[in-house]
Amino acid sequence: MVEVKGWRNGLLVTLPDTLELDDLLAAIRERLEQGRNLELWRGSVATIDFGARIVLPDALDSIIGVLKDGYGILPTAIVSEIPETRAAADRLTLTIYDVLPTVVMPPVGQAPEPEKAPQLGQGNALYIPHTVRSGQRILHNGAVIVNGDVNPGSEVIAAGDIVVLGTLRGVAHAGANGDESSRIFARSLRPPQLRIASLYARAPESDGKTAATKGAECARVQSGAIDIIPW
Amino acid sequence: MANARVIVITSGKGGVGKTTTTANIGMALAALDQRVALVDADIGLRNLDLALGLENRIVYDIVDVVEGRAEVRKALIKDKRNQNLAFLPAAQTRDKSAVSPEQMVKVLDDIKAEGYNFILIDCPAGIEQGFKNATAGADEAIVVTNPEMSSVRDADRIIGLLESQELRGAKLIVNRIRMKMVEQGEMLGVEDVQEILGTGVLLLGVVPDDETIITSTNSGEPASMSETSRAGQAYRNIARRLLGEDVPFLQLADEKQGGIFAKIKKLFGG
Repeated sequence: MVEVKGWRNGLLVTLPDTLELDDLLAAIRERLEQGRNLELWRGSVATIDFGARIVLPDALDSIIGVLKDGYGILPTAIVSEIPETRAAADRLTLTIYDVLPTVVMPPVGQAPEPEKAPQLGQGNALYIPHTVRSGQRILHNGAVIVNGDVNPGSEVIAAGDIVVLGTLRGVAHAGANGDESSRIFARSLRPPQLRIASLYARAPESDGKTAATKGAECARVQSGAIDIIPW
Repeated sequence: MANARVIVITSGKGGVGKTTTTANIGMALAALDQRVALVDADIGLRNLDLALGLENRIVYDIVDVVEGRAEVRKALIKDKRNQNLAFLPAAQTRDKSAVSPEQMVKVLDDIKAEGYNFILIDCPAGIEQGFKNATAGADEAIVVTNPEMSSVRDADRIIGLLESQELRGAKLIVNRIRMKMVEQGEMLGVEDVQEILGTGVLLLGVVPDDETIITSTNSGEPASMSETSRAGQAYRNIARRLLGEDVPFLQLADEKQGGIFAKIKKLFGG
């Protein structure tokens, strides 16, 4: 659900990825109305964490409109790895974070500790509850799980493993930060190209009609090359 | 009054038959006693007027409506062949930036107030401003694709964009299919297209490649008006499916070859 908490010099608003836009706007209003800090929050700046939500410019305008015009909260930054969302935020010259910077709430009178760089490949898994369609690009600093297909013309790039519960026909790049122990799993593995760390493998030339799927497979690095085994 | 179904007809890729599809479904729905308004959202590249044979009756266009020079009722052209059908042309001398999504929604609301059952929007190719305008006021979408990879990939992109605009449940029309080529493995079949786009995308119709479409587009008589056109029959079926009828898919395989295509018939679900 919608979460609002104090963060740095303002508020952190975390929005669920699942709600439709209208329901989301209603949920934001509901959350703010029930807060006892409503008047305290007025005039605050806020960072919005969109999770995996795809937010187009119009939707972003509506969300900001509710916060700004309704409650005097001014969003100045967002957290998102979704290209569409980032593009929409960029248009409004908001600050854009890939992942939520380490939350630092320094105790009074004590200098804040320097932020530690997040450990690559150790991030939480990103769960994509739908098919990744052509033109969509999923970038995540951790493992990615797609509950659907990855279609031709799309890309999934992960610092860790990639798990596709449907058919993988787009480009998948696991271990994108150089981790050769990363693997790519798919219920049906039919990509034009696979990448793990700095290695890549191409699909064998076919007559266009790809052979019937052999079942779930896993691609991993074995003695310096990408190798595919049943999963 | 305001319960018209607003359906955008889109594809991403150009040249797959959006305009022909819009004209034909519109004409077929009108023939089924539905009041239908067709809106050409392809501002700057006006085409739907030709497919409908109404180019010489254009006085006002959608930009005139948006900019207040004409009311929507005045700008809508009534088709003389079927009074149920009306048409709002695009402007040919302007470009996509002449209309904003908000203005599009307003125009559609005005058309709804005229009491139509269906408003079909012919979307321009591409995913930029014109696409945003055309989809802004729609509550349903029909995605047209041809059975070839580049068109399917663009359709997939469009479905993704529609979903991100909260326009879910897009319906699919596979246009220009040649059964002989599918059978010989030279063309994607309907099943191949569906496999890529996923089961969430409902198949609304399959339209065969048909030379009568070219002559009908040139003459401004949509093929769905012709009893003998195979494509016309497919469009009439699509119109009936839009009205909720359960119409079996055309048996496209039995053209000249006789009946050895049991496998292909299976593709169309009988």
